[in-house]
Amino acid sequence: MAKRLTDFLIKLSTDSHSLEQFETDPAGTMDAAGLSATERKAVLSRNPNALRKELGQPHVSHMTDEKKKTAKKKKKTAKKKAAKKK
Amino acid sequence: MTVVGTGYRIASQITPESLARIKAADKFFYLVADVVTETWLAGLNPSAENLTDSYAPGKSRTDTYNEIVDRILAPVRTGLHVCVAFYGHPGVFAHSTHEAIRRARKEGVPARMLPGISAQDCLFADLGFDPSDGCQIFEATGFLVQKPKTDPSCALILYQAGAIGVSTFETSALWNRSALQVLSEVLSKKYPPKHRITLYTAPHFPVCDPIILRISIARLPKADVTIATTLFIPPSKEPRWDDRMARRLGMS
Repeated sequence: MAKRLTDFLIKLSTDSHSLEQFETDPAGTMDAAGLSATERKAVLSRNPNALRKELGQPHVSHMTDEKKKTAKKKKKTAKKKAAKKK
Repeated sequence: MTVVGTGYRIASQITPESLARIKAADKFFYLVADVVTETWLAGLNPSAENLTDSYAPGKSRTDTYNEIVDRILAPVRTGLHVCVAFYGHPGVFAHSTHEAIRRARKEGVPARMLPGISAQDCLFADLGFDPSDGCQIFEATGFLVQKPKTDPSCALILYQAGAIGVSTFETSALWNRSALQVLSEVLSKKYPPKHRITLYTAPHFPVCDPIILRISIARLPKADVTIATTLFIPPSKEPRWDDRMARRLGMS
């Protein structure tokens, strides 16, 4: 995993002074964090997909829920059971 | 047992109360949407365990959710103080968290959910939309299959438009392109085809802005939608006003 990039993003998220520094001097801040050329490019692009690619995670994962489908399945099963009873 | 939300942005949208619960837990589980938040959370509590490996391509998400609930409840049953963190709000479009709390309480274990910042909260802030005039919210598949009665004079929010009709876990950015055509057709029956809608994606990274794309309903089938996209459909009609009710309430 891209440890330096990960640490850099965590620092910007948790320390408003670091974020301000980055907005004022992005090149200097990224130099100090030791980011590679491709990581710097991804950060400067401000593109989430470019950042995910550098972080080794091309897409946002597992962001869905199917509680309604589960409920519906249960309903169908109940109906089937009722039909069998008849 | 405590279930908390980490919000959407990395490490910066969690409440102090939730953070304290994570740090104090005997056992800590997490399920979030990016590797940076995973790293941050793993550093907060040495017992941290990632639930992501319960997902697998092609695996039924129902099986995944049941597995997650079982994993969470196993240490709860041994008497440990368990904290579970989900991204966003842990109770919004999250089956496993509600189910784990229900089962824990049924087994006599005190269980509580603490709120987090959801995609919808980010949307209200980034789009400058105030839901005071009403807001209808549905999961996109449910919206199409269950056909709820909706009102075009009231805003409509559809979650998970990139995963319509898909019950397995997939690794692609958009899980069902063809369903967007169906969604576009259904929306066109309620709204003018040229009605402008917003495709919204809340930002995870501190250097990124939210993704806000405004398109017509007719262009939805070819639009840049991912599983992280939330659809915001503004009202196409003025809200009604009942003079009689207003008078009854002493408003005129």
